[in-house]
Amino acid sequence: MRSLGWFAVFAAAVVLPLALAWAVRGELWSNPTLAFGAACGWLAFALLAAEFGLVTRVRAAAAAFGSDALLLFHRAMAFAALALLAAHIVALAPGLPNPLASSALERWGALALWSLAALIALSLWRRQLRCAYELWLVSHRVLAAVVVLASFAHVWPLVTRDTLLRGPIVAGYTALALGALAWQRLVRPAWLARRAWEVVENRDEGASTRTLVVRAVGHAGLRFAPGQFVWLRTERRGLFAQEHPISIASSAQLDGGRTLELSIKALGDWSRELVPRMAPGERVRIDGPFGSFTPDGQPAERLVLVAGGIGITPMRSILLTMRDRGDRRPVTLFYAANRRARAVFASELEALRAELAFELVFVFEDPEPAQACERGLLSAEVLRRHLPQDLRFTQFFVCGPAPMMDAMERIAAQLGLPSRQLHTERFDMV
Amino acid sequence: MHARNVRLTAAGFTLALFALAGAAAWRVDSRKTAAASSQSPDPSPAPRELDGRALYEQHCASCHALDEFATTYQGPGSGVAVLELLEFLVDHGGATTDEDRAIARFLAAP
Ligand SMILES: Cc1cc2nc3c(=O)[nH]c(=O)nc-3n(C[C@H](O)[C@H](O)[C@H](O)COP(=O)(O)OP(=O)(O)OC[C@H]3O[C@@H](n4cnc5c(N)ncnc54)[C@H](O)[C@@H]3O)c2cc1C
Repeated sequence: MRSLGWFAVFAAAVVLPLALAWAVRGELWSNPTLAFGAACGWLAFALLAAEFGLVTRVRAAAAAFGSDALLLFHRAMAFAALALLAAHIVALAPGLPNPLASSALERWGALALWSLAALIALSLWRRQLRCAYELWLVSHRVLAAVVVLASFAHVWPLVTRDTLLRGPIVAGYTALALGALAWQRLVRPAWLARRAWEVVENRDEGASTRTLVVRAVGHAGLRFAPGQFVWLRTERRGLFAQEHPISIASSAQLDGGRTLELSIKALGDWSRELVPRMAPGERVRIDGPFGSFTPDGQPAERLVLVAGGIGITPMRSILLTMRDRGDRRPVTLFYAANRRARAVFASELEALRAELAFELVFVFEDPEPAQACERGLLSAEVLRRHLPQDLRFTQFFVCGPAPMMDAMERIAAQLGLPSRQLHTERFDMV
Repeated sequence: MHARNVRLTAAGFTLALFALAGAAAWRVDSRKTAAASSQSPDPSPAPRELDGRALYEQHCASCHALDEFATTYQGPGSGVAVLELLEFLVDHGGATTDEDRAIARFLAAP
């Protein structure tokens, strides 16, 4: 229901400028093709501004959908905006828009279009272009601001004294979009700087994973639900500040939220080079908690957790929290990894069997010959072998690499699992 | 919410947006058809619309003959020209933007 409400707000914001044009007096156009093109332009403008809302870390919205779902939708809406802009151009001024055109109207429109196209191309082919994530993020924000400002300059002269209220609406949308960016880049970091956290331990867990134990300095820490994640901001490296989404791996009951454990796998330059060097006493910033990937508030008699690789971190938090809360509901963890040595926390999880109504199923692709585990990849058969027939009151939580996530969505369909029983967290957001 | 649902929602929403834009075109078309079937030589303004012809005559006709506009502002591909005309009208003269829009609409389809 909450998600429907948020979606309605988003849809209304996108449609409002066009609807206003219909509500009062006649529109400009008397030719249907041109009217279609103009409508596409209005929808694209509003959609582009609303895109900023999707990635401004509004906790309530992230809780309703999940941050990964919001980002996926954000990405899809960029394509929708590009398609609307293409239709706008084909209908109103067929031909390649020229950012150097003599007409200011065309110049700004072209700048908005090409900046959006560049932004999308960079997001799609970042890895192929060997563009570092941090550089991509900065370019993404700059291009997004250019798109919105150029769209504003394109539309504004037509609506400055518009009685349809579109003048204030165009100005308001632009201000909100840029305000969202400023909030996230300037205001929130300044606020977070006053709520410092300190590294108290940096533990090697094996399997290329380190656990940072951080403690709140002079404040009450944060209350979170097991499975949620935070944005961890560490010291500046080179030109760009490092801020990474990391799931909280510790129990939600630990130290009243004043101590958190963040387990980080060495996957790239930040996690491989900077994280291992972080020493006790070093200050970090933590923004959160975010996400809806949590069994808290879910009506479930049984939990099924499916983790692949470092996707185990939110599951660890869920299991430790269940232990600390004395939650004895049956819980099954399918833990997929290449082999046991790559399965971080394997021994700790095995020990949890004594404290929870817990079945732990390792799924190794390349196990030792005599190892007690499922072999190969996760499949519907593997799940069926360990789960009861009746899954009506079971909630599934899945976190792992993208191919495993896609496979699990297919497996869920094979098991006849309705989508409201399947919760996912994707670590590869971009 | 898993990825398939997000993709389906996004695809549905995108289609709905294009349908809305299509409805904008249909609205204009049906207005034109209604005007043509009422057999009046000029598309007369809908009851709540301003009369572009009268406004043109009031604000522009003394200096600019109607023929001047036909090639630039009429027909397919004239979108940018019409928008520039509107921009010009907004910046010049004492008419309100609603009146400017009505004049531009009239000049684009007199
Ligand atoms: C909700 C969520 C929770 C996560 N939880 C954990 C966790 O508990 N443990 C863990 O090890 N990893 C986790 N990750 C993944 C983690 O954020 C990336 O592995 C990490 O940012 C890699 O950074 P890097 O510079 O070392 O690697 P790079 O090689 O620079 O990046 C590897 C990939 O990680 C992603 N990435 C890199 N930097 C960022 C960033 N600043 N913001 C978003 N994504 C980025 C990109 O997709 C990139 O291609 C999580 C990701 C998400 C989205």
